[in-house]
Amino acid sequence: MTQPAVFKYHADERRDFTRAIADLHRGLKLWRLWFELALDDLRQRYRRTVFGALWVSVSYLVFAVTIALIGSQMTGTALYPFMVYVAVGYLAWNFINASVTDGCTVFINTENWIAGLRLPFSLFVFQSIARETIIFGYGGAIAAAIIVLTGHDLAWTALAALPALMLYLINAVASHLFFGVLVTRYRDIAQIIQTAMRVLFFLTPLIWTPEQAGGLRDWLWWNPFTYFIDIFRAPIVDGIIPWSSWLFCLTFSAVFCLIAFSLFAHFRRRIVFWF
Amino acid sequence: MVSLTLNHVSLTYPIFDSNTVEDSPDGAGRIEKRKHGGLGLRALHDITLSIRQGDRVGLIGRNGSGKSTLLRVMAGIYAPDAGAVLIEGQTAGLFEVGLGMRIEATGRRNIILRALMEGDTRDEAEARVDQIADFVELRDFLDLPVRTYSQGMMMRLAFALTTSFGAEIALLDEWIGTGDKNFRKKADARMQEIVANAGIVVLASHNPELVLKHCEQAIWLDQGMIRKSGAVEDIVRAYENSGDS
Repeated sequence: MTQPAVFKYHADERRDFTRAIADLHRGLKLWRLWFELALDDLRQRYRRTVFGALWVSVSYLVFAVTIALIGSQMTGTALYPFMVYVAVGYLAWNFINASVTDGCTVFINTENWIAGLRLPFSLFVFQSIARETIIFGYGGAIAAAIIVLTGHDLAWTALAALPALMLYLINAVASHLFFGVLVTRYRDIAQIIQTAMRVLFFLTPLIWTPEQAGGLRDWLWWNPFTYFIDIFRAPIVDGIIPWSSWLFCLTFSAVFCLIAFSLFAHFRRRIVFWF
Repeated sequence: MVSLTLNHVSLTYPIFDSNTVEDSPDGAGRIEKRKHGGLGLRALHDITLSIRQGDRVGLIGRNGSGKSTLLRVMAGIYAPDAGAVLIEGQTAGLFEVGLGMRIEATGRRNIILRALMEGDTRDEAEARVDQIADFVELRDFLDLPVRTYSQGMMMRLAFALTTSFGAEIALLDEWIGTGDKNFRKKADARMQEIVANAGIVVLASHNPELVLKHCEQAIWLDQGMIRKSGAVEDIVRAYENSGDS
């Protein structure tokens, strides 16, 4: 059994922070469970399809190639470099987008587990992130193939994309905690976020480059996603490590994690009453 | 030492779906204004109780009287607004069929998931399947999605998942309604086993017969408060004479 042997709760001494940390700790320890649950999520999504989760790769490939074809024609840029640019950026965006939008519904979707068992809330956060990471892998395989087939020159600095990925994962946890708590209580926020993310897809340099942005160029850097995409994409596409973007992302992440964790700690015990 | 102690526990549910409800059904908790605005349903009010190892306790009361809420407080799922809860021992709750299960997944898969939840490794979980399969007797249906099961079959699986992992405190909500005679016998035996191993069984039901059959003590809930508690015969008699049952 994984429950603590003694459960003590006193409404006047809530010890929210200690309990929230214990929640994350217990959640991490259940890695076997959330990994299997994440696999089940994907199996269920692609139930009775022939290709199963390979559809993730297929739709990613079709999108990246189509955008690259249209984009290079419209702007007269070379096809292959632009394809690599779109593929890598879109890969990163998909993960970021999922960690925001899936974060919104993380507790709502798992209501029938939360209301029936004494499990750490973080379990469902890790389940969701594991699922998104697997999906990232399916897209990543295609991105790697595109990089190889287009003969793109990879520098050693491309490895700097890995710490960027780590930072994505950390922010994904914060994002699930933050939006998960908020949306379970105020359902409208999910709609606002979904709409915002759709718009932000076009406002972030993903299917166009900052050079093509014209007058918008100076505004780009007000969009936090610009920096987050940059730290992952620049090492692979341009072979450079964008230190100023890193500085922004690290600061942003620290503040975001702090806010998200505080919100989660404070409202954790209320979530179950919000369904 | 296994025990369950509640000290002056109160719990009010927030109501989000309406701001005009005033009148609740007879025997159910009252509607009240909440401290931070909005309406709330006072599901439990000033509950103090102590259950010790080896006890079999029945919770009786009308619909909405707080039985299920109290069970979830005992399971550590609901944190009360006031009062203290002390649970010594591993709890396992069976509240509604389907909770804590993936109905799209097979029965076998659900057993594995539950085993992983209890901290088993993958191999231990696989080994657990046979043992639980014996108990639920679903045969090849174990490889069908749970959503294809009948109510009774789902119940059997849910009961087995709840009681097969060495829980010391079993919290059961109206569980015996479905399930055929053969399974009820097995379930009875399983409950006896838990109590014999110095555990606790708490059974909530609005059916006095059921409580009388399975419990030695009873707690009568009315509007989220303890109306009376003591030996099961006395409580059930009082409950039946009140005209509530």
